[in-house]
Amino acid sequence: MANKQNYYELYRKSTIGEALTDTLEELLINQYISNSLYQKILTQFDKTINEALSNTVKAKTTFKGNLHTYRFCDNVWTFILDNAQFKTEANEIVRVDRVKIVACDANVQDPPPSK
Amino acid sequence: MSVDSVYKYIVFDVIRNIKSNIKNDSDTENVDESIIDEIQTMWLDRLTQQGAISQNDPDETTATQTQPQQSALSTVEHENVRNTLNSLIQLNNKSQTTTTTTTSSTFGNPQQYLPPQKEASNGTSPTINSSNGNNNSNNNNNSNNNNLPSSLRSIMNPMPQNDGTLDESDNDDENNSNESNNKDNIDKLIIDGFTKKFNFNESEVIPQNDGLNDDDDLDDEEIGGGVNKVEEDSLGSDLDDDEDDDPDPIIEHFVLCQYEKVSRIKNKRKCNFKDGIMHLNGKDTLFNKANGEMVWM
Repeated sequence: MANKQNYYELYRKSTIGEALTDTLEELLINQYISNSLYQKILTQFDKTINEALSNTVKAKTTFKGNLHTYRFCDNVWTFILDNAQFKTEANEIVRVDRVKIVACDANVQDPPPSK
Repeated sequence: MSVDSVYKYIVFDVIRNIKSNIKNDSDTENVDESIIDEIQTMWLDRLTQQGAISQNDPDETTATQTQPQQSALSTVEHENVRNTLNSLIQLNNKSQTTTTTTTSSTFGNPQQYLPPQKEASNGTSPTINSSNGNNNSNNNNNSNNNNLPSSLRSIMNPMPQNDGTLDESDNDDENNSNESNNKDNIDKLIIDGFTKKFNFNESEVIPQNDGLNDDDDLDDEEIGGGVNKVEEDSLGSDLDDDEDDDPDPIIEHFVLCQYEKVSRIKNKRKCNFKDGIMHLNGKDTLFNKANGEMVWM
């Protein structure tokens, strides 16, 4: 309540986010938790994961690939790369035939409430 | 920090914050902390199953190395969760103010049952108090699971069910093999009967299955179908290709992140990303910064 800052809900689609939303949805459907608690936990998750990613993660990555699709809509970039290659600092290389990248605007951490 | 430890930090941070916040909000002040604990357990269980994190307890890790022990362990865990949730329902049905004092003792119980769970993993029957007297521990598991309401079972068993319905399906298989033989025979008899009775010419039988396409079929035949059929097929396959080209629905590898800058020079785009979660080849990786070059072909 105290912190009214908005955090991106983007990461709810990640592995850890899906694990939480699946758990909460099952509990919600079976009425073990209320809708307000459901929302509260997801909001807390948004806050925690946004802060954790920016504060505790130090790793750097480079990547390249062939652009299959790009889209810029509502300030969200979506790229689909073919034959993408990701390289970590330890020169560990991961190749995938197709990867989807969804990126929100890092410079607007407070999205305007108008929309 | 490894992905594993970041994920665990996130789980514990969310749970800790929720626990400290729920009492301040009138909407959630009656929420019992035990349900938050259950959320944490289920959340971690799911992450462990997906291989996103390793298990906390070394005892548990060794216990899950063999299949039967794992199923026994999970059954007991599920029973504990079920007990907690059941008592939650009962408490919710009573008046909430009077029960808040008693909940702490009641809800402590499932955790206190954990020692029997360890004994269970030694290969003995998982339900020590079970009066079924079955020698086979699988049978015990089945009876326990079958007692659960279906809605609860879906909660308690996020794992693929490897014990419960096996017995039934075995029986079904035996029955099915007989039935399917019978069905095949019956089908043959029916088809034979029809063909004998109506004695169709091939030309009549093949084109007319639905009636409405009568004209089309005739046209195809008149214009010497070969070319037209190819065109029809290619039309259909064009549509299929379009669906294949739309890559949104099924991409197993993804990156969720925030962009600082996306620029383009001719057909090349350069991106500066930050705070990303990558899921590549089934493995999660996190990054603080990522720079990339993408070529538009």
